[in-house]
Amino acid sequence: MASVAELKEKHAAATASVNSLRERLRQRRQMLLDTDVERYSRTQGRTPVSFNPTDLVCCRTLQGHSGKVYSLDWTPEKNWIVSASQDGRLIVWNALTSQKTHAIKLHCPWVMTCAFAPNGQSVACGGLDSACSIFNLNSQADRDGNIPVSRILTGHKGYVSSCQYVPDQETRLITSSGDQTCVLWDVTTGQRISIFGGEFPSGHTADVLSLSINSSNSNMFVSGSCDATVRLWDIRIASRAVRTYHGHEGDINSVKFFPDGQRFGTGSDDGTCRLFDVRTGHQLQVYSREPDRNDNELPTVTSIAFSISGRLLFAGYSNGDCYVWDTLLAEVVLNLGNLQNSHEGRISCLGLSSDGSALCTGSWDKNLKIWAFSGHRKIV
Amino acid sequence: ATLFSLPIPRGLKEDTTLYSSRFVPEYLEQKKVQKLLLVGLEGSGSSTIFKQAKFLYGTEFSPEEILNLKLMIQSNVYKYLSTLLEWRECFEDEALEEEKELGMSNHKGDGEPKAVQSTSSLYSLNQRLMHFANWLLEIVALGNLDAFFPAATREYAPIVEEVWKDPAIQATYKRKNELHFLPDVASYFLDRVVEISSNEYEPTETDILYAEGVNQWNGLSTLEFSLDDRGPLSDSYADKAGNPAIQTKYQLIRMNSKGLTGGFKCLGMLEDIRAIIFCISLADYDQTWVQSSGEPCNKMIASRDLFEDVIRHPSFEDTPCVLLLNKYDAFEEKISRVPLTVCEWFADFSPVRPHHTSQTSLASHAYYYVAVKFKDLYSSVADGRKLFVFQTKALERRTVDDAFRYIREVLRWDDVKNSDAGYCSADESSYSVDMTTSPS
Repeated sequence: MASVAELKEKHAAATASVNSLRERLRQRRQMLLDTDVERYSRTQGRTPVSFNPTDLVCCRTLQGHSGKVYSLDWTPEKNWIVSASQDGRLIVWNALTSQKTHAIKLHCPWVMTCAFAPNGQSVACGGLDSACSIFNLNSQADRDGNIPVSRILTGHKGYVSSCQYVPDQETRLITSSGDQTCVLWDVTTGQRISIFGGEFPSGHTADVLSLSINSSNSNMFVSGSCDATVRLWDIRIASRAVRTYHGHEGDINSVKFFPDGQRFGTGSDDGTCRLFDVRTGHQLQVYSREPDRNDNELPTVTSIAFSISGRLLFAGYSNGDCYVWDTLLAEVVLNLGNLQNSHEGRISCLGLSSDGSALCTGSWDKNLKIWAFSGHRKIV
Repeated sequence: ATLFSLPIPRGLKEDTTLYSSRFVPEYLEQKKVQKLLLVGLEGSGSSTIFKQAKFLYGTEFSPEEILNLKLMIQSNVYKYLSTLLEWRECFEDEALEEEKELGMSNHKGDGEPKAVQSTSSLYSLNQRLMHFANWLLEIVALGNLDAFFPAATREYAPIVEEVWKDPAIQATYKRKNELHFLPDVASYFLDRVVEISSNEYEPTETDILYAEGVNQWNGLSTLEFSLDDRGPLSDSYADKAGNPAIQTKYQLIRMNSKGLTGGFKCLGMLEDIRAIIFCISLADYDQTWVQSSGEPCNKMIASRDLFEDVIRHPSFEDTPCVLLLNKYDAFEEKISRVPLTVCEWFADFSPVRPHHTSQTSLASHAYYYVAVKFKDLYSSVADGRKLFVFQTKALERRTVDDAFRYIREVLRWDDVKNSDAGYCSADESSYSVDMTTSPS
């Protein structure tokens, strides 16, 4: 039996070897990149989208949570939003009227994620209880006005960081977790259909924080992790990741497919958003903020979303900024954190409505805000 | 052994001015629940402390919770068995290797080749049990243990019992001090595997305490409670005892350390924590721990590193911290045969050796030394703030009750200190005296 000292020695040697190989891979990757989206777009004569002061305005502030807002999701068909907060509640809002249609008290208040079912009749949430709870919005409330939980999905061995229903499937849900795995669930039975990562060698090596399902091909999803990588998974083959994407230097808090399903964007603790090509694994573009004049730490990116055409990338930051990037030219064309009626705290989550006409942001200031587009814009 | 704990903060007993001034903040906080975060490395005993608190101050375990615990106990039996089977394999390889070397030397000595080399040893299983063992280890290796157990528990109970009683496994278990990752309680459950695996099994109170963890899924657990006054301290607060309306409410939040891997992101969600209760097993100083990076290290050092990560977290910048040094009984037993210095962080421990040094006094010295090591670490990380240390044996309910009462006094003292800055230096002097007294 090898002694502990021998094991440490072997482990150190193996680690050095792996790190050396990683560096060679990184250099090789760098050599293969001949341009990025911004430089190519400029050679094609593209100019940035411009915004007039009234083009994107805060038209609703959804007040009602008494704790930090951590997550939000829109229904695919209607104008409803579900939000999750540290006050231990999910609230379902009518985005047009600002009315609360449901307030669901949670057993575990430390909730990190929430999602609407495709039919808009159920919501799911998860957090530090390591479980994903499902609530049927049509259930009869009890005497205290609480909606009972209709299913609890247990099996994760760490917190549930993100959850998303598989598009067009009421009974399939994917979760990501601090236990380094993602799981595909059958919501009807509460069973785990597949586990992505974990003991398998191609899985994540640290907490998984986010996931995004490809709406063009719902068999594919990507997951972002504290190991600074994104992995692409095929729902039908759980035993190994299809591809791993490198480039970030910090935890990947948010990952989102580009509308065409061929690319995805990421947001990270390293302060950058990035755009990756699904098929080649290449990093196509980095969206970096200018360093602060005070040399403060760069704010982290907490969440991202794309506009319907993909021309705009919305990014929420830990300092309360919400940048609107021109995806092609890598320029900030608007900062919702500087406008009238902007949030007073960290932007913790954001999402675009399914028709692309409105953006909802959630914040640690306990509020959600809806930003709507108005007028027509010409894009060159 | 007498409890080796810090003295009760002096000011609270003697100065009536402090008493009257403290009343107001407590009254204003009447409706606010004070959140206590309980955390510790796996095996430190934090889940046992949580369950003891539930027995002491909370309501009964609900049927759902009991079922959860039952399933967890049933699953754990297979984890223990798979650990034993892995070690058996190591020991068998080791024994066969030794026998091979012995055979070779015999061969040289005799000048005659041995016709048959032995292919079994003390650690060998028969073919049927070996088949089961290989199957179980393969399931564990694939990470599929959850898919089979506890669902199939009853079906496999008889063969598990047979494996557990087999001489090979018993011989492996006899070397349990060498076995990493096998908890102390393994034999307690394996001895009763058939009973535990039946559908009618109901965990006893002792079973609940001995079970590792609070639930199967490492999720965060919470318990709301308040403390009745009792003992000598209650004299000072006779008025309060008659006023249950102003009793402080606490919420104990126990977080499994597995949830703390990565960047400690989930700690940021635990705001308004009134105190951190960090639990460490004193008996871990000679144990090996595999970190999430895969690198092995000393378990006490892993606990220290986790402790440092927690207290460094920005959310807990001004949060009081109480360190529970747990499993003192196991520590007392172990210290006489395993020197504290096997842990490199304690390499400079050299107790004074008076005549007739007893096991008790050696353990006391070692305990005190460990406490001071953590206090020094905390002081250097937390800008000179004081770490409060308490000794527990989590399986003894009284020590857990004493610990929570101690924590309450720490918080009351903290309230007083915050409301009367003028008294800080006077109160702190009783601790600075303590700090200057260093063992050896």
